[in-house]
Amino acid sequence: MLPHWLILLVSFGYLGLLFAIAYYGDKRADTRRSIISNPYIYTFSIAVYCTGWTFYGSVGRAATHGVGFLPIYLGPALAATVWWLVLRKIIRLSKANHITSIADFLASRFGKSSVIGGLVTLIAVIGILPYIALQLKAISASFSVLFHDHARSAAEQSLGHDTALYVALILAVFAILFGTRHLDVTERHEGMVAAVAFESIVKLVAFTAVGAFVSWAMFDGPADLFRKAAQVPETARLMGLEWSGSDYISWAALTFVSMAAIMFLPRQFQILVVENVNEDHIRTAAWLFPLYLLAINLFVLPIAIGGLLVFGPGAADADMFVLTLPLRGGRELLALFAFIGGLSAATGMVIVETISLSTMVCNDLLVPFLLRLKVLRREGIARTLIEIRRGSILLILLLGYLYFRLIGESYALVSIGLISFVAAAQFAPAILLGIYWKGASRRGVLAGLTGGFLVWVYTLLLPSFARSGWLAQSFIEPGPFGVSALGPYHLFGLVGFDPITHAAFWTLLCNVGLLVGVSLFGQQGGLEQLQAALFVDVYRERAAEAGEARLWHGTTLVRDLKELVARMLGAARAEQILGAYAVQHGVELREELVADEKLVAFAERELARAVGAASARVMVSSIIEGEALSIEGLMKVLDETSQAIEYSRRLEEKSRQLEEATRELQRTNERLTELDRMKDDFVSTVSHELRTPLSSIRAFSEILQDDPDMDPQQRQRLSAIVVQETERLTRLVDQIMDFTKIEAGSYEWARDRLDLVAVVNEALEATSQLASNRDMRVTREVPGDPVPTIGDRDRILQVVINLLSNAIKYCEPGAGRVHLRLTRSATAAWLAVEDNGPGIRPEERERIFEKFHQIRSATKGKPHGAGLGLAICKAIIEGHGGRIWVESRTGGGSRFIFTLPARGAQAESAAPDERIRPA
Amino acid sequence: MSAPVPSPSDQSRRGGATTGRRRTEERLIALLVAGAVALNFPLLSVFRGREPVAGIPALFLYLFLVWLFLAAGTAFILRMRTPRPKGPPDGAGPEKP
Repeated sequence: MLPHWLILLVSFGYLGLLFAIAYYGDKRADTRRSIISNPYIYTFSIAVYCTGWTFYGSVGRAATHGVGFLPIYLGPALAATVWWLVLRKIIRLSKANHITSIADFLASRFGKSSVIGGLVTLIAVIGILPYIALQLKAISASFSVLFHDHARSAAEQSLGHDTALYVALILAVFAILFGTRHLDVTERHEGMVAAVAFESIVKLVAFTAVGAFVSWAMFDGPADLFRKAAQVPETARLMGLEWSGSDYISWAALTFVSMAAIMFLPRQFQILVVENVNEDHIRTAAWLFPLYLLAINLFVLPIAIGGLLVFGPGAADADMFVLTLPLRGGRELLALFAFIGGLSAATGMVIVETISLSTMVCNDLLVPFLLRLKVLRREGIARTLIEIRRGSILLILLLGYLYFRLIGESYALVSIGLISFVAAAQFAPAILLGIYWKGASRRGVLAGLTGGFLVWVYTLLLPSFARSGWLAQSFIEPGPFGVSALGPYHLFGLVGFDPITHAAFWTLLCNVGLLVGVSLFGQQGGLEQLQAALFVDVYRERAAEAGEARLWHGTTLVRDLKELVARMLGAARAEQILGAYAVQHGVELREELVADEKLVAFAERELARAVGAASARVMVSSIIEGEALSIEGLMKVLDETSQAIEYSRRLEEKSRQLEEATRELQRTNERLTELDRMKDDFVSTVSHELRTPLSSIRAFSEILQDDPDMDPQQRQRLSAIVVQETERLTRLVDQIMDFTKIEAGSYEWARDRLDLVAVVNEALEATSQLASNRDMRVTREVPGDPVPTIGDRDRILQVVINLLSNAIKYCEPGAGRVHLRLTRSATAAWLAVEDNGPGIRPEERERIFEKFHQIRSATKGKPHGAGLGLAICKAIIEGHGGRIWVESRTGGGSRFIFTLPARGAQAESAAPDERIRPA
Repeated sequence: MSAPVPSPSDQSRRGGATTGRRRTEERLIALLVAGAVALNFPLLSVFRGREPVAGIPALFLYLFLVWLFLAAGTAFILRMRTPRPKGPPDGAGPEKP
């Protein structure tokens, strides 16, 4: 029997050692030579997962369920495989947003909502109380065992309760000393992490030592132990697997709940995410942590079976085999070491858990509340915040103690812990959907968490009160008001599951269902959408930058901002960080200036480090005037998402444009070649046309010159020819000049009011000689009323004459028929000249209106004219806002049509489908 | 055309890193699925009433072997492609996405 003073001395000595380690860790951190910045310390600190529950409770569960204790550790081992994906994303997000706790994380994701933060905090505190109670129970029970061996009387149990109270108080002091030295929570509790990592090593070594002692000293190795166990029915049962279907379902459910717990228990989130120094440490932790779990569980079954064999089934509290076996073996020092191991496990958990919960209570529950009351809007509240945190640590531990007093004795350790696991699992849907699905909305999470939590209270928490006699037993069986369908362990008649599986099913069903359902049928606010985009797309760096810079849109003075930061963090610290900001960005922060968006966002982030995102937002908006959320900033971030799509769309468009340009170029090139050819043709034609009259003029002039004795009649005839040829030459040159003028756009159109009927009549008269020369009939069809329009009379007359003379020229003499028809519509006048000539080949129809284009007559081979007539017509008609075109069939005659806007109507051409139909 | 279109070399480099990271993630997820299957019904029922192996209950041994395999598999996948970083001790990891 160990002397009591020795047990107490060792216990306090050990706690003192932990404190020394923590103190050293903090000192190193202050001088920027971190001792926890390595993946192994990180991994060992994660092992805070293994609490007093693991240390004592696993053995207890193994003694009744065999391997049934393992899912609680297999779940984390499975979850660790995807830490590199999931955890890394959460860490990245938390660092970018200065997240201080799981409540802060969810509040931040869902639009910096203080309601979400408060709800998560509430769930966490209530959900974790059983777990803290469990640690107190483990420590006090282990004290009792060590003090009095395992024989306990009622009187000693009450001493056990008192022990638990002392333990709670001591742990509270310890957690306060560790956790609330600084206000800034993201500036990590390096000392605490170092101490926790050390504790993890101690508990592993202690447990393994006991396991080895039981296996090899009390038995002849594990094989001997298992062989002996096989001979006793009660222990043989534990090694087999006589399971029914519902056992497999329990197994799967426990595995699943534990997968969630390893990441979303507040203390795990604290260690895994908030205290993480470097996200690359996950690379090691993802495989080393499962190995740690494996090692610490290796001897659970041997100790449980050994205990059952040594003490006999049901003879002793299986939860305490770790202590009672070494005591039975006469190794009191080993028992003391095991006790220290258990103490490590329990204290580590309590310290980290209370620190993280107190942060949440302070930042996400009390600060938003106090801000509304305007209590915190005065100087020096940094001090107040620390006091609040210290107070909450004490309060949480006392509540844990209360829970322990209420129900502590009516449960085995494992069952208490699992109640908390199911509560922590409620955070999993919100976080996982939150970081992968932008659609998850604030209302959805609010509904999901509330629903899941209420079902949890009903199916697990209230029954735990009932079991300890604080509620009527009939609440559990048959159910409230005697209604079996409402029974908290078989809700709506769902039977066949153990309470934990049953609760896990209903809570998560309700949670996920409400979260998804409400999100799908609701609307998200602007800030909410922004945060969703920032969280889901955290790896897009540009999105993050845009989000940081552009969130605030109102105005505030630098002075107000400085005051706010100083109020929260202290004047010296405010001066320091704002000074650093000014240096880094190369700006001068004059107090009377208006703070820009970047500075405001920076100040908000700094405040968030201290009081969490939601509270920081409330504080900053209290001094901002005007619209708080910048729509441009919002749009910019949201746009980032569609940027990739935009890129590829633009590329496609570019390549389409390029193809189009290539085709256009090809066409242009062909046209240029054609134009070049036409120019050559034109030059030769014009030269020819000019030369013919010139030659005759010259020839006849020479004759006149050489033969002065020519008879006057002959001379008269020859000079008439010279004059005629000269006139022809003049006309040709005039035509070319006209055309170039019109083409160049410098021609001044006269704007006369004119009657097209009169123009037509004049044109017919002018061409009547030509027609009768060729023995052709020209008919007309004109309206009785005038067809008024506005334009250059001479030019339009020229067009009509040109069309008529073309028609006459191209028809066979004698057989030719030319028909002119003038009609009018509301907006336009139409004139058509139809002939029964050879017609125009389709490929020529567009081009005959081009300058210098000459129709090569099929019969004569040689073109008529210079190829400018129709080009001039086209230029004139288009210059008047009309249109000209030809309809023709090869061998079937052609019809030239032009339209001119009717009088008053502005330059508007007729639609193509309004063409004149043949009569 | 306000946003610049990424140059082809930029895209191919990014594409390469994405493929590698994706592959690591796919492998990890596959390992998780494999582990979840190995540690549940019906595979576990195979060990009902098996004789002990080297004195150790078969189910017990099987569970710990799968466990070991999960840890080894994760270590293998996370360490096979990218060498341990020699980068700065603090801040982000070497795989900047």
